[in-house]
Amino acid sequence: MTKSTRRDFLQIAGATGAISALSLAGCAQMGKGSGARVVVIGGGYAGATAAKYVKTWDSSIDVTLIEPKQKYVSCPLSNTVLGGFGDMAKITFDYTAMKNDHKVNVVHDMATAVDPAKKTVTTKGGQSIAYDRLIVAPGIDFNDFPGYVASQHEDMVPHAWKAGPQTVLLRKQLEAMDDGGVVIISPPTNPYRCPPGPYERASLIGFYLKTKKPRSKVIVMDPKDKFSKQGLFTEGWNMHYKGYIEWVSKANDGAVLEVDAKGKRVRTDFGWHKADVLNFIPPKQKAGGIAAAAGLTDKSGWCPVNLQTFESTIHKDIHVIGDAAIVPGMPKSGNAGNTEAKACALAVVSLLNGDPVSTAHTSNTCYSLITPSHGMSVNATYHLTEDSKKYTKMKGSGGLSPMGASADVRKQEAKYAWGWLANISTDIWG
Amino acid sequence: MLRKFAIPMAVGVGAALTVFAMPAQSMEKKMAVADARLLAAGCFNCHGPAGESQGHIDEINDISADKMVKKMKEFREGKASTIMGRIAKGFSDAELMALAAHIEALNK
Repeated sequence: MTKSTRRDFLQIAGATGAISALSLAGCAQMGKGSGARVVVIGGGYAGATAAKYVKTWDSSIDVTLIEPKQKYVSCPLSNTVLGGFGDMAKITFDYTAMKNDHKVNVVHDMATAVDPAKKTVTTKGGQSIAYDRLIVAPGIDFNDFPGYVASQHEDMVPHAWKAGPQTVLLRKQLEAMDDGGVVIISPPTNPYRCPPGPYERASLIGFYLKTKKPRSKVIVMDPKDKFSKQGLFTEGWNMHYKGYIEWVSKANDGAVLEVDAKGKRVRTDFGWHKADVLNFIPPKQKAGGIAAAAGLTDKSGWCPVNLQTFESTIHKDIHVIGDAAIVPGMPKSGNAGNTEAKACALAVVSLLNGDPVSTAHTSNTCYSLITPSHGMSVNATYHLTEDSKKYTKMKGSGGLSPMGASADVRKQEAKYAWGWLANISTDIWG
Repeated sequence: MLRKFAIPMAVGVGAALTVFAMPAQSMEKKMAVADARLLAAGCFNCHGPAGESQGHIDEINDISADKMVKKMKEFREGKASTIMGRIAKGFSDAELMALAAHIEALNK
């Protein structure tokens, strides 16, 4: 997409949006949102989408995005880097278009506090930024685990559950491992970011080992007895990775109770298990730090929200979207975050303009790769239930790729996985 | 640019009216129809902003509203696909018409 078309789209979309909002409201109140200030914390899949779409749907609103990093690395498809056939550049995006084409003020700083009464956000750099409505999209953080505190141990035992340097570190450890080595992956307990992610990771590390270090293997030590897309992963592992991937369920002593980061060991009920490369993905995940600091979390560690507007049920005028929010019926995924952000952005624009708020409509499309040319998907289109208490799929819709599909179908879905990344990243950061 | 503004304005109003004038169908009697902007934006995560794809996945910025509704109904009724059948079954007729009109308007 050229820059000029992108701008045209925004202007057209902006105009169309304004007009249909007016016609829905039935009165002419153009520019009522003018001068309103929306601040977004977090420039990932959810936050960056919200910033761009608030601006798209009402260009008169002043939008500021607070994100410490200059570049964002996508978790979706980061497992291809571990598999040795993806590269970091392909999954890295920046905020140039956000600033230049969409006129969002991008502040590269860390939000450290929110004052819901004064309606300000304070940053590590000492700025105080005022908002009329705040959208918080901080992603996830990890609770401490016996023997594993992410900030202390992630340099030895990467979780790689936030893509970037962690992805590169895990890849380097895999490259340095001798042939004949054992890779242990320990997936989290529910609920966590990207339910099929650990199993795609096992698949693609399996791909690397099979092609480059064929005497090695991956052991998945799981605190669960079942997992996302299990049938399709198992089918794929039987097809491609016999002897390379072993899944140990909770019932078979898979649950890790303690980590010895220095020794690259994990302890289960039956004893210690030594790895050559250990990928511990901490269980008991929670909303990213600023959410708790701002008092937006409940005792689960996640943020309760109104499911139509994504406004916090704890603090007024603050919305929470993406992995940090409690959204019954929807998974914690990048695509889910993107569509929650759109529903939230439209609600924010409507509220600032005094217009009625549309019912929400969201979706999730999630591709996983088993090999570079074997892909599969799960998807859902969500409506809000009448009582607004959860998201639900229309009867007969959504679901998984079929079992036993042809190699051509699997290849097509692998291609679509990359097409999805190219398009959703342009939808967000382009 | 003026011309580009004018057309979506008209269609925007049309789409809104269409939504409200739509007779309730039995299976979707109680289902509220979301704003067309939101429904349409739900396509762009896979098909690209305004339906303009970067590749691998079909673009949807060059088909008329009528054709899009027809295609979605075909997917819903079982036309071979990897994922569109599963997606199309998640939309009511009223939603399909609203989103298709909006995407057509964006790209005029």
